[in-house]
Amino acid sequence: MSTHRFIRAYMAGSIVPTAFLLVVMTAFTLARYAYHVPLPIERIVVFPMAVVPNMWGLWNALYLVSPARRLALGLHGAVLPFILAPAGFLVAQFVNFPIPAVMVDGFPFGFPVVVIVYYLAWKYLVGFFNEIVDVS
Amino acid sequence: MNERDDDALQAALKRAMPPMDEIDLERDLWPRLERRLASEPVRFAWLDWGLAAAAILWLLLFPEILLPLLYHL
Repeated sequence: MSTHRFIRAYMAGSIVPTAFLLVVMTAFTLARYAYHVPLPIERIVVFPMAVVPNMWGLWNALYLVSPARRLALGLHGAVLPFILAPAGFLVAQFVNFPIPAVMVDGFPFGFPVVVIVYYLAWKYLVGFFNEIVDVS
Repeated sequence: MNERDDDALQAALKRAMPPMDEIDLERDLWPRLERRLASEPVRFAWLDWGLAAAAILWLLLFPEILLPLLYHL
């Protein structure tokens, strides 16, 4: 497999959040319609549904040409939340999503967890799929 | 449109769309996936175990960060 390296990298990167989307959508749907969480989650669901998987794919394709290639894939992935978090905040602002105060207050504590989860997911899951499609 | 036009259209469509039953994938990733899964299992580094444990502990202590975490996955 020597052709279409970027497309293969894009596919390998986007498969992890796409598969995990089932969990995210189930959690959001249950929160909203079973537990009646008073937040209009449907306004922001476009972010995990469309933006996040595409960004993972693009970020993985970027890894092929990035000078950060000398770094481990996990570290490359751990940088992505620094782009996605502001983007997610902007999307929430754009659609007038009322961000709960507990989330704003908890951001400094929650963000390192996001970075850790991204590091592990990129190192082990995206790395696994990169090996499958020969772009590691 | 008469019957001769129908025949001509049908023939043109058949020329434009060859039968699909003889088209196979040029390559199949599934055997590669199976071989990879059957090979040596992934070994987690100690640092990664520590990070995963810290993240889980953090989520248990501050469950309110779960929703923002899901938002970014």
